[in-house]
Amino acid sequence: MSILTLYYVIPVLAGLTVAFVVAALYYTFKTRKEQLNRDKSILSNALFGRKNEIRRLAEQILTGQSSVIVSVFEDERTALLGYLSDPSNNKALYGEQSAKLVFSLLDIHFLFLETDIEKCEPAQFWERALKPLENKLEPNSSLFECYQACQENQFDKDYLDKLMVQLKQKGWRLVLMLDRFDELLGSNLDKPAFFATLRYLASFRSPSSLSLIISWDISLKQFHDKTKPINFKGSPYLNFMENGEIVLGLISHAEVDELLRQMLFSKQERQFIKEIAGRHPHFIQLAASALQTAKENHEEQPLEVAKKAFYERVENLLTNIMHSWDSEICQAIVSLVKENKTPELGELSLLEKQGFLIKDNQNQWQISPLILVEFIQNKTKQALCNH
Amino acid sequence: MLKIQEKMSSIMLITSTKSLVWAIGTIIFGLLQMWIVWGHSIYVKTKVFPFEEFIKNGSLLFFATAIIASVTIDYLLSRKILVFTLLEGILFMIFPLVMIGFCVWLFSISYDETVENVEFDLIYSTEQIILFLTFLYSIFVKYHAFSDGD
Repeated sequence: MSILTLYYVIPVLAGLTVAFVVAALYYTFKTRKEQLNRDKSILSNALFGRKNEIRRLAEQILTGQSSVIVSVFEDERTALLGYLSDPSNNKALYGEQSAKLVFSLLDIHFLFLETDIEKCEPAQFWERALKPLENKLEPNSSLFECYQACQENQFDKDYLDKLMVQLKQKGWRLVLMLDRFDELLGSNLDKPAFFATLRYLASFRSPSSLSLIISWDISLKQFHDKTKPINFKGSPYLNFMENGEIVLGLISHAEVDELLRQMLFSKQERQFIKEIAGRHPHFIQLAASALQTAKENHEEQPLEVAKKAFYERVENLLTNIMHSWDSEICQAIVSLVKENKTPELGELSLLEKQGFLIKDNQNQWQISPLILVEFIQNKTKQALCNH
Repeated sequence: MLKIQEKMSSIMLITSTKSLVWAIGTIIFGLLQMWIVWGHSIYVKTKVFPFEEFIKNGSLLFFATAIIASVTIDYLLSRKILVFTLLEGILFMIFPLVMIGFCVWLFSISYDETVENVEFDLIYSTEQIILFLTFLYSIFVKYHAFSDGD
């Protein structure tokens, strides 16, 4: 090996050292910055801990089945629907089939803001619901002509059926997502013909070219009870979706720990959040956010301040949640908190699924999270359940 | 946000201290024989510490190669995210390979019996830079390994 080569090596190694130091420092500060931003994104990610639900819903869509999403937290439901229909997630969720899926997300609440709850006709509903499909159709194609026929005939059931048959022949599927579907109850659409058409289109052919995703804060059973007066005979309208009912309940202890660990909370702080927020990601995020704010403000007693702030943030939410429960269920829950009276399960099974009722170490029913217990204790039974 | 930054800083301090302790511990125990010989030469004043021999026979290069290979493999196997960015590929794959390449090449030169005194000084300087880079690299990789764990 010549001495000349060695003379070259030293400057090369010196250069390599400088380049390495610069790259290593840049990489270290970049990862540190990413770590700092991570807690922010965790707090704003409404879908934390919902991987299994997302996977299950994607499978339902791919197989042409319909699903019901049950959650008392509107943000979480809406975020889930948004995630499933977001074009940037389509490839990862649905693979090659994503090109054949047409997503239509319709918030019933907004539909009634734009139309009139008393006067909204099924044709208006279908016009809005089929808009994304219409936008995707090529003019003069057979599907477009079929759609036009539907439109000209006020979206009559038979014409809608023909459209669904055509979609199926082309290998397409319409994924119709209806957020706050329970707001249809009591409206002009709360009619047997409307529900029967939905049921028929989504369930008559299997796999169906219409995958219905309904989201609300009630159970299917409650919906069927409420529609009983207009369902003179036959099966409940949406009973074909019973296997697809997905309740957004508690996440596992391991997932809670992982979430809080990522947000750099101490052991004592993690315990505090778990106690007041339970294992519901939405509550955890709100409690964690309250604690972070208290810490940023250098409060002397951050836990106390955070608890107060968290209570204020969720007070309205808890009122709405309790008002969404039937009066008997609400009273049973209040009795459990105020009088330690064990409730009869059955009607309360949805609350158990949602994680508001859990069994403690002595196998006794308890209310979760602790903030809900405090909320109930602070109010009278009348204020909580008279609605 | 301030508190989180403070906490991040304390985590950085803990992990960088850990990686420094790891590097010092490795230098102490990895080169223990050399330190013993050195200590013995100080105690028995008639003997001269044969540092030149350690350079010439390339044992320090063996040490550098072993350190680079072990920290890199250990980090890559324990990494949770298996996708690498270009910068990560350079830092955690290409750079250690280049370093090991230098070690092997320099060992082959220092093993050459025709190396004369003039060239020895150059080899010595080159080895010093390689050892210094090895030290920096191992601290850097260990820092990120400890950060990921925390």
